[in-house]
This record gives sequence, C-alpha cells and structure tokens, in this order.
Amino acid sequence: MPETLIPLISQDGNIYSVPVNIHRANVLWYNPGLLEANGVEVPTTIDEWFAAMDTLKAAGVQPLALGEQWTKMHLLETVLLGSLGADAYNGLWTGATDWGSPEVTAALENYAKVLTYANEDSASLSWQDAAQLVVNGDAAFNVMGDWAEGYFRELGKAPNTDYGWAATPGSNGVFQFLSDSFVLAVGAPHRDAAIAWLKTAGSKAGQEAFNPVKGSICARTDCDKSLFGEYLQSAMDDWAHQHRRRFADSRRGRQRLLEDRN
Amino acid sequence: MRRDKDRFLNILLISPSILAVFIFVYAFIGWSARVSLSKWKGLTADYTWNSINNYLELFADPRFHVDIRNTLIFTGVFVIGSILLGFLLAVMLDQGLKGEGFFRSLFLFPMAISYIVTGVVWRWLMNPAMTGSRVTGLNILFQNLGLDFLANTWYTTPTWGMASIALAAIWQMSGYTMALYLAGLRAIPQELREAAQIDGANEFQIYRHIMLPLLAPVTLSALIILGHMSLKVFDLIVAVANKQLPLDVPAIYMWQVTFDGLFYGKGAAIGIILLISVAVLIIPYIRYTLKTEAQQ
Repeated sequence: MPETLIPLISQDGNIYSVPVNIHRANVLWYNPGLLEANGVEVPTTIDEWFAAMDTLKAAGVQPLALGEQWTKMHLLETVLLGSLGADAYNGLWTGATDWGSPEVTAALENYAKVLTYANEDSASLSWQDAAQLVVNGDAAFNVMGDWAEGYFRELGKAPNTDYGWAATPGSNGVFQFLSDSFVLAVGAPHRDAAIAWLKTAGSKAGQEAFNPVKGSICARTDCDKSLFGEYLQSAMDDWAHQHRRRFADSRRGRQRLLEDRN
Repeated sequence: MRRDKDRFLNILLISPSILAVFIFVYAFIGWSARVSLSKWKGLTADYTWNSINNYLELFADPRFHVDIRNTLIFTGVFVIGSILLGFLLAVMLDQGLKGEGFFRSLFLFPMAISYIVTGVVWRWLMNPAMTGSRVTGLNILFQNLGLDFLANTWYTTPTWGMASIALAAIWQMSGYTMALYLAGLRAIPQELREAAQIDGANEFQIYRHIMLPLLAPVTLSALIILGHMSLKVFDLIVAVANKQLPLDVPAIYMWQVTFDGLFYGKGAAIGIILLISVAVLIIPYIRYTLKTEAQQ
C-alpha cells in the first residue's frame, strides 16, 4: 500500500479501511485543437491561465466549461491549491493557514475571476455535460478529477488528440488525490461476506480489474502498468514521483463516486 | 348475537390495516423522534441522549435559514398561482362551453404525472442558457417570437430561482385546483345566480359577492392541500436541478445530512420539524372537516 495513504485511513495507529483506488483531483483537461488554433500554450501558472483564457475569449471561444455546484467546489479547491501552494493549502485543513489572510483573499479573488470565464448555464450542467464540451470542441478548458478520463474513453475519444491534460495551473508537481475505501461496520449482519468483499477489494486482482475501467490508479504499488491507458500510466508515474499530496476527505470521495454513477 | 358476530368480523378485517398503519406510520414517527434526540452519527445506531441539541443546531444553521426562505418562496408562488389559475379555469369551464369534458380532462391530466416526469420536462423547458448553441426550451421560444426580454435564467436566478420551480408545480396542480372549484361552483344553486341577475348584478359582482364567499370552504381545502404538498417538496426540485444549495429545501437537506453525511440524529430532527409544520396545517383542518361532517 502507498505510504502516503496509510496515515489518512488510520486512527491511533490502527488502519480502519481498505482503499480500492486513487483518483487525481487537480487535473486541467483541454482541447488540443482549440489551443493550437488560437496559439495558446498549456498554462502552468494561474496568471498564464488568465492570459490564455483572455486570448480564447477574444477569439470567441468558450474558455472554461463548468458544471453544477459540486464541480464549482472542486474548482475552488484547485484554484486555492494553485494560488497558495501545497503547504499553505494543507494548512487550511489543519488550521495552520488563516482563512482571513491576504494570501487566501487573493486566492479567492482568483477564483472569482476564474468564474467569469465559465459558461453562464453552469448550474444546469452535470460534470459529464461540462467535460463533454471540451472533447466536442465547444470549450477549451475543464477542471475535473481524472474520472473524466474514464468518461472520455467511454465516448470513444482519443488521448492527446481529442483531449489533453496537465496539472491545474499553479499545482505542477502536486498530486491532489482522493481515495475510495471500504470499512467493516461494528455489528455488520454478514461479517464473513463483508470480510470476503474487503479481501477482494484490496487484492491485486480486484484492483487490476476495477481501476482501469473506473479511470483511477491502484491503491497499491504492485499493479501491472500495462493494463492501464495512456493517461493512467502518466498518473501512475506522477503518483510515484511527486511528493506533496493532499487528501480530500473520504466522505467527499464517496460523494464523487455517487456522482460518477449518475 | 348476530351484531356481535358482525362486530367481531369487522374488527378482524380491519386489524391488518390498523396494525400496518400503527407500525409503519406511528411507530416510525416515534422512532424518528427518538433518533432526533440522539447523537447518532455513522453507520451504527447510537441512542446516546442529546436532548434538543440537534434542533438548536438546526435553528442556528444558516443553511436551514436558506431552506426556510426557499420553502416560503415556493409555497407563496405555488399556492397563490395554483389557486388563481385553478379558479380562472373553473370559471371558464363553468360558462357551459362546448367540449367541457375534454378540457376538464386536459387540465386535470398533469396531476396524473409524477413530479419526476414533470421535473425532467421542465428542466428542459427552463434551460437557463441565454445565448449560444445550448439555448433550448422556453428561452428559444421567446427568442423566435421576438420576446427576448422574457428569456431568463430560470431556476439558476439567485434568490428567486425557487419561483421557477413553483411554475412547474403550478402547471401540475392547477388542474386539480380547477376540479375542486368546479365541484364547488356546481354545488351553488342556480337560483342564487338568477336572483342576483334580477337584482341587476353584473357577472363580476356575482362572482365577487356571491360565488367567492360561497366557495370559501373550497379555497380553504385548496390552501391546505397545496400548502402541505409544498412543505414536503423534494422530487420536483431534484428532477429539475439536482441537489444544489440555491434551491435547497428542508427535505433535500434531510436527505444529504442523513444519507450522504450519515448524521442520523440531525436528519431525524429535520424530519420531525417537517412533520410538525405539516401537522400544524393538517390537524385543525381534519378536525374542522370531521366536525362539519358530524353536523350534517
């Protein structure tokens, strides 16, 4: 099991749940054709992103595709991360970073500015509707976790031609992740069956069967890389080589999983 | 002897329903009330006594304040809109026009549809896109008719978006309100109308001074029935806009806090608040109806 994951599922030194996957949250999806046609480079900082979106907007291209409420919260997290950096961002959750500080205010102002580039009907679009705008060439950027890749593949789109990816602006080298995990409840009526399920969910075979289809990488380090598509292989490399990571809490992860099913 | 036997049979026959109602309605109300006074949080039951803290937390919760505001907006627009439109339709149908039966069924028909279906259709009709390729539904209709000023962002409008959801509900329930009023109008003796006409009253005066006062009990019924429905609204909103904060109501909050958040104690407290708010409307109404029926 990856070392970074263990403290997040432990309490007082005991591990309490079986993680099945790792999803990356800070991914900027883009339409390579639209960017090229307008002479825009893939942005690596928030300011570059604003400049790129200004160019696209002036050319009459919808710069950013955005969906319903929880996708806006997701975008807020990545803009905070990109503006503050990993340490200060993590401090927001531990209390080490003051929400009232000028840095956080500036980050929130960035977020307000990002929203001005988004489609006005965002509240009526699901995350799939919004992500689809990018692969269909109706919008240039979309910020979404890497479950979007599973959706793009389902639509029959090809990596690097129909869609490209990068870390969200300002978060290069940071792997913001969430992990779905299963627990055994006290007094579970079918304890043996539940344990059998947890064993399968945690096993190499179980995770190799589940993750390539779900669009996530294994929550263990020994999965066969050749079973995964191009994007997920790059995510596995990033996961192995990047150091600062932040966990979005498990309940939110569960929510995401529910949204995925919708 | 025979009477006793009948009585025994009667009790025997209704006892399954009584038992089922007792268990599935009253026992579960009692259980929810108990859970609402507990600290239950998570997948395993926890009945640790928490007094009324769940309720106090809710009343101090800004999200719950938004829920109450949204419910009030929805109730206001929905109840007033349905009653006005229902009454208007009933008056029109009462003019003895041809094909009355056809129009009666036509107006009543939406009531037979589930809120989910209504929601899916109105989600499309009220698509908030104003420009570009995703404009559909009413906005594109307004544009093509040259009525651009009517195009709007519907349920995504800040604060008043809730009123758009109420429009869909009015479409669904005004036919039912019409049926109530039509029955009421038919029960008014023709002589009263004729007497008023002889006294020189015009149509408007007849409706204002004779029909409306006589229809007061119908209006009361409509208020209660529509009012208690709007307090519980959930499926219609979810079908139109999914669960988003600008359109949050107590039932949606209850769903999220209980089944997504696993705070069973707090979720049960919202359920009990909903029950009480509905009971405040319904119980006096039932007592009033039973009393008038007994008098007759």
